[in-house]
Amino acid sequence: MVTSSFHITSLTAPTVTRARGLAAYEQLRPHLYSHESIEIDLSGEFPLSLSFLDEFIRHLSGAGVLNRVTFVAKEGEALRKLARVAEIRHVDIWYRNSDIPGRRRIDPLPPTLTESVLLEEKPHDDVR
Amino acid sequence: MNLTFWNIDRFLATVNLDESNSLIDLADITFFEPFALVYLGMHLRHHNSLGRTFMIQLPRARDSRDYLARVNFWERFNFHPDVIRRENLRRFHSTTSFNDILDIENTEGVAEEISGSVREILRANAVRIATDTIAEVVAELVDNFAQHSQRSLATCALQYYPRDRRVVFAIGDCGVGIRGSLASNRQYAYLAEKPHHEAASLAFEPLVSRKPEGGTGLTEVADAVMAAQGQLRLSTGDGYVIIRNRRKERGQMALDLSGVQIEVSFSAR
Repeated sequence: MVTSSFHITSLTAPTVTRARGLAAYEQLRPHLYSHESIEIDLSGEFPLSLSFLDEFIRHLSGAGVLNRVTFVAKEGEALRKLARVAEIRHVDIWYRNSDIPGRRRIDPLPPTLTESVLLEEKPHDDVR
Repeated sequence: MNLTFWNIDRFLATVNLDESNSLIDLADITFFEPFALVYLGMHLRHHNSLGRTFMIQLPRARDSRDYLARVNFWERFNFHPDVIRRENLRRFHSTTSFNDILDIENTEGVAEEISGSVREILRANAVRIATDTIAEVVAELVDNFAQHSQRSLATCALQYYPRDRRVVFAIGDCGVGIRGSLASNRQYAYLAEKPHHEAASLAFEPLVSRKPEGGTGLTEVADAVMAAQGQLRLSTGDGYVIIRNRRKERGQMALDLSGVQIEVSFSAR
């Protein structure tokens, strides 16, 4: 099986806006059909926004190749955001890291807001 | 008196807009939070565009006047050259802000540019905070303006308060607002008849956007604010949304102002 690996910042940088997510997908597109599987490395310290990942993954999913992509990500923010995209878009996203032998499907992560209330009067200060 | 998100709408609602040269009396203001500064600026800009002019009673407190001069308040909101010249004598720089209420143009790459500037200021001040998280939030907020406001200009302000160990970023525009933006998508056209706060609250839900493919900008901002135990305060039209303590509160502002004005606040360790 031929696997090709790309660090996300080699596809585009910085990785913070929806437009960049599309740009990363466009960079990757020529390689999508010439490799059986593709790894996208998200490791390292750099800003990586949910909008960016959402747009990148939305296009991979739309092209029908998302199941051939494995994201390389340690526990932490990158994995949390992938889990949010899996929840929001109802898609299967795969990841691996050096601690696990094969690749695993990411468990979708629901939103964290617990309560939404309509107030009669705007609060007068932020003391609660 | 501090001018903040909590009182700026009530404060400006007392200004008599029927008079020519309406008076905004800042004499008792001793402190401006970034949201209040941006909201006041958008109020002036909105009414200037309708042909209204204002007289401003300057703050008595020296620090407040210095602050307005430092952030270029008088230049940004088209005050008389004499006012600008006189107040600029008070201008000095600090390393804990942009030293400006930045007017940002809706251009390609603006989100990355502002986000990069914020990261530099936080790093230069060695703020013990998740710098990348704040940079991402700033990028999302600026990109939101660029994608949805339908205006070419927005205004933003950043302030790091070393004593409180708090970072606050605010951005505002005089655009179509959240309700107008969402209602342009047929799926959410019903919002045109709903209160502004209802549309604003819905905008934090995943994929709710004027764009058919959906968006996640405000979803991420809310996630990040809650993960960092920060606060978000937003106004649009006469509606507001506050996110704090894993809770979303919404309701009505005392004033109806076009566009979106938003502030995020994070505490450093």
